[in-house]
Amino acid sequence: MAELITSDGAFTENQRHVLQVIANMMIPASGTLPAATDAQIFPGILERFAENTEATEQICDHILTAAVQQFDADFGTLGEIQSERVVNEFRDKQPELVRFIQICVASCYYKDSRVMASLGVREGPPHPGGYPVDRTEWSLLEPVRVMGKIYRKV
Amino acid sequence: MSVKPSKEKLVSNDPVDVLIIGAGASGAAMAWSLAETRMKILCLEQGEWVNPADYPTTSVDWELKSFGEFSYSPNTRKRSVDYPINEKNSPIKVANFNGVGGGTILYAAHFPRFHPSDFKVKSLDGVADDWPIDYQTLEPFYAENDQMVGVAGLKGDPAYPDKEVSMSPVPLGVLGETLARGFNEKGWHWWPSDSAIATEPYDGRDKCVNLGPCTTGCSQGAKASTDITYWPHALRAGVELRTRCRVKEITVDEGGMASGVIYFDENGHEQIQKAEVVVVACNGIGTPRLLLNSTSIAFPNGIANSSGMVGKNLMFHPYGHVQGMFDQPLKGYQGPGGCCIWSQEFYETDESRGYLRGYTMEIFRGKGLVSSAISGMTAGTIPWGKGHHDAYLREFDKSAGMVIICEDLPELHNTVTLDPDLVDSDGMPAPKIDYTLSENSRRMLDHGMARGKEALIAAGAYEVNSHGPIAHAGWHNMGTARMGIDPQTSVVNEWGRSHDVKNLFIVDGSIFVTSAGVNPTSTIQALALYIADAMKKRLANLFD
Repeated sequence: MAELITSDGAFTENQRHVLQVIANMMIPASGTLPAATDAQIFPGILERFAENTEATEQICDHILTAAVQQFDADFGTLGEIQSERVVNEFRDKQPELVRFIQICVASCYYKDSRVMASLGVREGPPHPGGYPVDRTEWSLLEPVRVMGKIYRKV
Repeated sequence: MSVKPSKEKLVSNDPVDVLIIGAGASGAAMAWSLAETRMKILCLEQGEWVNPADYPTTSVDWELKSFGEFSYSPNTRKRSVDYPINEKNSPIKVANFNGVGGGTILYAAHFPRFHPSDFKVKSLDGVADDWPIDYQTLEPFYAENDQMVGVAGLKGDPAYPDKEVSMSPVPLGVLGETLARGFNEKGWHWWPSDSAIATEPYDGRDKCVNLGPCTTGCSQGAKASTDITYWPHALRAGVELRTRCRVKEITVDEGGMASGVIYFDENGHEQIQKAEVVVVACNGIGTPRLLLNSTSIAFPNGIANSSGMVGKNLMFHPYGHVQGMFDQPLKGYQGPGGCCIWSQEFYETDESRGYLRGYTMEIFRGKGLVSSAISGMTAGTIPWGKGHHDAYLREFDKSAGMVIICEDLPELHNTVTLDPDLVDSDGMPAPKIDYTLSENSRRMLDHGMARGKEALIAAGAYEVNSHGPIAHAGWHNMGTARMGIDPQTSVVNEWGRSHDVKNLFIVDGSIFVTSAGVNPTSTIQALALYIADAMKKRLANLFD
């Protein structure tokens, strides 16, 4: 499989289909929010997968093999219900790889400007802008101040 | 015992008076304090300087970077300067950073002191051992360290003896105030955390801008990592800091004194560095690793190890995680991520609770966008597919929680040894961790997580959950070269000098006798300053 994932992040058609199905299963479109397979988001997700070819190969191998074992068919020819069954069984068996998938998909999806705007979060990195936080009203501490010392004397 | 290469083939450097190994929390404090002696001081650090502009929060992909190159797990991070750790036999995995600043690069900057009772656990509770020093001994060094670091806090915490603060506390924000009301509702202690974070310009550092994640490195330079606190002062005073130098072993002369070290330079070539005094500052994993790897005819079981205590008594702080869901947005991603408020309501021993010693509850702020999604999906509260967005909107910025940081007690069977197979990029044996959570710690964790849930519910949480110990939270590595009066049961004496080798000192968390129930950096640095002071007072007869 190694030769099928090239260093520039290109995938075979089968692999790309596997990753696309998984991404869409994880975060489908909803209302005004895009799916993870949105044209502005999915290329970034593929780049993330390409950064760890070993894990991505394992994912695709598992899925493609399972499709043949369960349905005697290529994963790409399966209907939605059958595809989801294969992926869900994979999710149950491979938690570490699932975590990797979730990082790849979520790290791209949740930096999309449309998604960030919908959540009310400022676009861009946290630094240098930071965030204003109101000064605290320390009268909240009055009940604690009246406790007196609580540490153990030695 | 390893077969040593011929010394004639090694590059030999000019000898120095004091050689410090490690440029983290303790090594930096030691270097700065000793600099006034005008001795020739050299620090060897296996890592590199980190440019704050390279920290993740300068990038839109900051959360992704925190899972990779800025992960606090060396086994995940796998930078060339890191060494692997075999931690398969431990439910708690090591967290660290290798570079100038050491663990302070990624720490949360919680800066509590030990309590006076923490130094007297044997006398008070009949467990473990008393320290050979007490709170009063360290108090002036805590204060000196606080000044160098710059501690934001509020005077008057009833959980502590009186102490000064450098500047106003970090703001609590909506999240902190919400939880503070919960503690008030319970009638429990809480207080704004002592934080090594500049809330106003301090010693050349800019003030905190509440950008969120302190534990990926502070791009703003407000957090007190030692690369921007102690080191600029130490370097100006003439200390030399040499990076990309991984010390392989401490060498000894015919008289059994430390003669210096052999280290790997950045090209993997071995070099010799002679020194009159050697100070080890590699913390609770790196220090025993180095000592155990420093074998010789005089010290076949590792240098400074006649007691057999090197690598024994490893203590972590078992962490519990408690989280609650709230109806309203908490602005939790705004503000210093790890520092907000703490509660020490259950810090001191009360035997009726079913365990001895105690813990601190430390409130953390909210997660970032990506972390919220991943943690929700991992926990099963945010589903894949239909319902993902709705569940995400229910959780994002509406969760708050705390960690329960439990005092761990020393046990001989919790160890750091040298792995027989695993090695680092220079071929040096990797450390192997064998650790079992004690029944006392288990009970303490359970008690703390139950109380944490109560506090969150009192604060208005509609749903709470907890788990512990947190696996990837082995930030605090202590006890593996313990301090004591008796050379049969300890590695260094009451001022940090090896019982066996009179020009060898250890100044990091490995010399802790017990762990207390608080973050250790403040105490590590106070100890380093105290030991440096003891050395300065004894310069004329340091080796007697």
